Formats: sequence, C-alpha cells, structure tokens
Amino acid sequence: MLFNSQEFLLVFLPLTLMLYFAFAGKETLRIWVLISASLFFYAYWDLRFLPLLVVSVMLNWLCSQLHSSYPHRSILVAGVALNLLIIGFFKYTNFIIGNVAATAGGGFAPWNIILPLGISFFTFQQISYLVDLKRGAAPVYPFHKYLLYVTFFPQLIAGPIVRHDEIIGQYGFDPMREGVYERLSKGFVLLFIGLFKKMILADTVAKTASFLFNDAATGNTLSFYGAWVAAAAYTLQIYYDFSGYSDMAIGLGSMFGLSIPINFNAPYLAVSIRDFWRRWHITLSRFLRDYLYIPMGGSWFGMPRQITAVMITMLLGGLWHGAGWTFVIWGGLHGLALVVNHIWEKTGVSLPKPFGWVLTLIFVMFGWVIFRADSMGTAVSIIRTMVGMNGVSFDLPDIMPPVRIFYFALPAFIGPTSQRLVEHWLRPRPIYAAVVACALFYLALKAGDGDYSEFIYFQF
Amino acid sequence: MGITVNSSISNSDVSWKRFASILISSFIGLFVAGYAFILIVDPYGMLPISFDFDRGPITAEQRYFYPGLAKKSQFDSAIIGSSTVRLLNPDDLNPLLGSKFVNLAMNAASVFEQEAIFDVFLRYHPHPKTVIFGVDHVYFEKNNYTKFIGAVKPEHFPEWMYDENPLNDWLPYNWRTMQITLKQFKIITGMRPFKYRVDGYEDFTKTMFTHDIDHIREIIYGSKTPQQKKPLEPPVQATPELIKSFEFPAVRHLDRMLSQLPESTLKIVIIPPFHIYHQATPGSEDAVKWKEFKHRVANLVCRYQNALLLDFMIESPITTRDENYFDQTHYTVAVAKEISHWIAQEAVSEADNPNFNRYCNRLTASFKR
Repeated sequence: MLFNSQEFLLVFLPLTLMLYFAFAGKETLRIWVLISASLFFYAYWDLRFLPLLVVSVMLNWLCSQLHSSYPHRSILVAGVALNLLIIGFFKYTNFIIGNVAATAGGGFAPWNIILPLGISFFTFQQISYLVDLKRGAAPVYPFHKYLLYVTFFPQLIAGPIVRHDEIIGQYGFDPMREGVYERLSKGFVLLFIGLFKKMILADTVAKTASFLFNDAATGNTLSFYGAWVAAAAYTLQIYYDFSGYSDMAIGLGSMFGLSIPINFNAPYLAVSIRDFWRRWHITLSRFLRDYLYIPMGGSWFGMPRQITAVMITMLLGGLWHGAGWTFVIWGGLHGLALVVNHIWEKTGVSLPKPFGWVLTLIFVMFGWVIFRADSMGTAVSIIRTMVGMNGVSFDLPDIMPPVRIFYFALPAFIGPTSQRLVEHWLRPRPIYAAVVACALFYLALKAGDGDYSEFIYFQF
Repeated sequence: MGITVNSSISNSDVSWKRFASILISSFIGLFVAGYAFILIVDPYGMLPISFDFDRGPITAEQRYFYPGLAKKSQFDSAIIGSSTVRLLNPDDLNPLLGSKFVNLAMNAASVFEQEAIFDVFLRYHPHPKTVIFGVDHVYFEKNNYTKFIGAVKPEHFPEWMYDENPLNDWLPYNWRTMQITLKQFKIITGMRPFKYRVDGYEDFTKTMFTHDIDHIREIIYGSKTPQQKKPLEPPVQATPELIKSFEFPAVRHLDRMLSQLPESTLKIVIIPPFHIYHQATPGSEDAVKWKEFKHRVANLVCRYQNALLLDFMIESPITTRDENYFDQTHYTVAVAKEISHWIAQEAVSEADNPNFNRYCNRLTASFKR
C-alpha cells in the first residue's frame, strides 16, 4: 500500500486511527492495533513477504532474550550475522555470483529472488538494536513493543531508520495526553506536505528525468543542455520523493502520538560534502557513523585509519542502496569527497560559503547521475556530455521546459524545511485548516487517478 | 526529533482542537459533497438512477462517453466498427437512408469492444432502423481476437459502463472523474459549448497533419515515389486444405450481433477500403485468405433478412488514388462521403448506377426491386 494511494488515505489510515484512539487508554491493546495494521500494510503488497518479516523479528527478539539469560557476546554476533546473511541473500546473491562468474569468464543467469520491501531498513534497525545490546546500551523489550518497533508502518518500508531508544519508550505515552490535537493537526499538515512533494513535485520532474535517462540508456547521446536538465531533474526528483516520504512518515507518527526523527534538513543548501551528509538521509548517516565509522576507529587513530574508515563506510553505504556498481561507485565518490573535505578542513583554509555551496551542489548532481543511470556506461556518457566533451549543444526534446524545472527547484532552495514550516510557521488558524483540508481533498482524489509511481527508496 | 508539542499553553490546545476539527470535518464535508456532485451530474449519463440532463460528450475518450450516446433515444441507427468507419458522417447518411445515426465506431476497437457498444445500443433501441458494421482487418486477423488490441489496455475500457449490472455502476472517485463532472456541469448549465458532436462523429484527421501528398506516399510506400505490387508468380493455389486451415474466430461475433437484430432492421456490413498497396498481393496466400474471408462473411450475411454486404476492399477509383488516404488503411473525409453515397445507392436507391461496380462489390443479393 502506498501512502499516496486512496486505499491508504481513505480507508487504511482513518480506520487505523479510529481503532487506535478507541483503545487509547489501553497500552497493550493500542500497540496490538498498530502491529496488526502494520502487518496488514506490509502484507498488502505481497503476502509472501510477511513471514520473512515476522520470522526476522522473532529471531532477533529471541537473540535479545537469550542474551539476557546467557549474556555471551557470541549470541549477539550470531544475531547480527544472521541479519547480514538474510539481507545478503535477498539483496546481493545475484550481484556477487554474477560478478564472480564474470571475473571467472563465465556466464550467469540471475536467480529469481524477490527482494522483500524495506528489507534494508528493517534489517538495519534490528542490527543497531543487537549492537546496542552488546554495548550494554539497550534493555530487553517485551515482544509486542519490539515487534512494533520494527514493523511500525509509517517507517517500515523506507525509514526514517529509528533507534530503539528514541521510539520504544514513547509507546507507553498516552496518545490522548496534552497536545493530542496539535500532534494530530501537525501530522495531517506534514502528510499533506509529503503528498504534495511526492505527487506534484517529484512525479512531475520524474517524467523529464526518466525521459532523458531512458534516452541515454538506449545509447543516444544527450545534448549538453539535455544532460544538465536530466541531472537537475533527477536531483529534484530524488529529494522530493524521499523527503516527501519522510515527511509523511513523521506526520503519520505524530498522528499516533509518536515522534519520529527527521531525515532531511535542506540538503541542497549544504556548503560542503560533510554538511550535505549531515542534512541528507540523516538517520542513515547516523547509523553509518555509529555502527560502522566509529567502530572502525573514526577520527581517533590518525588520518590513514580515518580515511580507510570513511571509504569503507561510504562504499558500504553505497552498496546498501542497491546491488550494483553504480551505487558502489557513487558511495566511493562521496567517500573520496568526504576525505578531501576532511583534509581541506585540516589546512584551516575556508572556502567562501557561496563557492562551497555551488561546488557541493555540482558534485552532488554528478553523483546523482551515477546513482540514477542504469549502467556506468550511461552515467559516463551523460557526465562526458555535462562537461562538454561531446560538444555544447542546447537542443532539448519536447519535454518540461527548464524554466519550469527552475520553479520546481525553488522549494528545495529557498523554501523552509517541512519541519520548520510546521514547527515555527504553522499557527492553529481556521483558515489554514480549511486550506489544508481542500488541498488534502484534491490530493486524495488525484491519488485515485492511478498514474502514481512508487517511491524511489522502496527499491533499497 | 520530529514533532514537538508545547504542552504548557492550554489555550493552544483549544486552538489546535479547533484546527483539527475544522481540518477533519472540512475534509469529510468536501469528500461527501464531491461525490454527491458527481452522482447528481452523472457525467457519462450511465448511472442507474440519473437526472435527465442534456449531457454532451465531454472527453475525447470514446470508450467513456459512447455508452451514454448509445443510450440516447434521439437515434434509431448506429455505426459499429473501428477507426476504418469512424469517418462515416451521420450528417451524410441520415438524409440518404432516412435514419438518425449515431457513430459508435471506436479507434483501435477490438471485436469485443465493438460487440459491447453494440449491446448497449441494442439494449436501449431494440428495434433499430439501420445498423452499419465495419468489418475490417480486426475481424480478419486470427490473432486480433483478443479482448483489447493495439495500445488499448483494460484500464482504458470501463467495462462497468457496458454491462447490465447496475450494482457496479459507481463512478470511480478520483480527480479525473471530478474534472469531467465539472465540464459536464458547465455543459448542462450552458456555461460551456458542446465541443464534440453528440452523434459520435469526429473528424479525427483535421488535427493530424496537413494533407501533403509526399508525406502520405512516405507512409504508404515508404518513399515519395508510388510503387506497384507485382502479382506473385506462380500464384498460390487455393487448395481445400489451405482453405480449411483459415480461421476467423471473430466472425462468429458478427453472426451473434446480426442475429440479435430484428428482421426489419436494415443491416449493412461493409468491408472498408484499404489502399491498394496494402491490400493482399494478387496470387499470394493472403489474397486467397481474404477471398475466403469475404466468402465466409457473405455466407453469413446472406442468412439474414434485410442484410447487405458491400466490399470496398477492391481495386477501385478509391483505393488506387494516394490522395484519398492519410495512411495505409484510413481514407479521407471526402472518401467517407463517397462511401456513404454508395451505401445508400445500394441500400435504398431504386435506380441502378452504372458506376457502382467500379467502386464496390456487392457480395449479397440486391435489395433493388
């Protein structure tokens, strides 16, 4: 079920909210309402995915139970290994065998392995919990609370990646406590903002991006102008798509009285690549930092070790996005940029902020070209064109005029972030409520047109 | 963290309660009112209980608005087929045949879709005066006998509008329906003129391109120079085995449609004229197959009273002139007028026209008394 579908907006969400608040005073019951709704939400795509999710949760929880009775680190190490094996099998089997076969000079027909939705997200959440247990930084939770932690539908499929200690404690809070209407209202407003970003902004620029990237994938060389428009369109698409999803997830959490961490903070205003990763997919950056970069030594053991840690972290971060060399190279390039950024900072010379901003944005755009392209061949072709190696031509097929892309870019560059809008600008005025209701009504009807697309991050 | 709440201001809670109440109640109110509006306007005129407004076609999506036209009592005759008979103009045919035609031919219509719209028409007009069927390659190709052909997908065809089940006649509640309802509302209230004709006719060639003969020849021959097809030597023999191997499963459905019509209905089946260069090559297996196809359709049509089969798929002054076409299978508006003339000539005119056989083969017995 997609957030931007009528089934979700008009049936699933109202019913779940009503049931949840009907049992608001009974903690266990309301938690089970959310669990049932979440499992239904997950199974709605494909019932075959459900057993894997449930079994994965049960095994991880059993690990935590076993560890509390027999506190030996091998139990948790085995648990983490099991999680890695599961994600490795579903996500990377074909990639690994294909590459081994290619290196050995043989062929390989990929196995028909269906990638369960959200596996990268729910596996990471569970690994973080087991690692925290090993560090002695996590309690053992009752099963129903742990189950809800992993399966809570707003963030199950595409995050934000929530840490156990920032959400499970909230399950005990009465949803009817003071501020219930404020949370509900802000939740609806965030849901509207997320839907708007996805359905109006992301899906519109996606047409331009898809047209040009598909054209390049067929072997055609884009014009200089076309290549830049493709890069710009996809830069906007992925931001509106993913941050829109995150806004909806945070908004939905708020409706249920639960606070979910933010995932984006105006990333295209970043003035350095380090700054970018503090603003883009914040919960993933945080996960990579706490569970990969710091355990590898972080910045405590000198520059060579730090560079190694950064590179490994970013290469794995790239691979996390998908089993393909384009993702690995994208991660590697960001790793290199972070290394350069670190070294530059050591020199004590600071770039003027506008210059840093332009440099960062251009680097990020080149990165998205690699990320989006179907192969490195296509990516290289577009990048060669972008740097003028295929001549400078301003031909553009009959697609969205660049001036419209400029307008679509404005919210990302000068607009406030969704959180700022809701937290600081939104006032409980009736006129705002009426406007949001009208806008939600329009988007709910538009969701029924059937031409919506899935979220980009569902594939990861 | 995500949303934070300032819990120290109780006045704020009252304001947010009002905000949430207005937001939710406005949404529910709009939602209910919006669907009520759609049900009252009934943009396609297809709901089981519907106000008798003077609705017009409000979209170019034929599959959505033709069922509403097929219901209209102002018509007593219909044209059923695909794009190859879409240009037959009721304004030409009505005076010639003394009927009130609605043209229900749809672009890229499969036989299934043609039968579906025919059924709707017949449900509301059990005794039609005249029905013209365009029997073209859609009937001829065995592989074409699928529910939908070409680029048409199931979602393009609202089956619920065509069936007899009133329980599924609930319009989808989405923005597209709302926009169409708004347009229909404007038409009903006179705020917007009718854009499409209510008899289903649409000259779809007028917006396609300028009628440039070089361009047409490029489409027909693949070059600006006209080509000629050479008969195949030696010609394929029409052996009984070969003839037996031909299957035209769609023809059964023509039979079913003809059998539903009363004897009094004038039934005109026409095989529309393709450009000669795209008709079967003389001497080829395809030519044998087309001949057999026409033979079987003729045998079928012969079994019905008041039924006529006119074959325009021959070498004729129509099919040999490039100017008469805008692609291999679609003729111009002027040719459509000519075809209407020849249909009337054979169906109702008492006098013979010596030129008739140059344009058309009558494959069934004549009506002429």
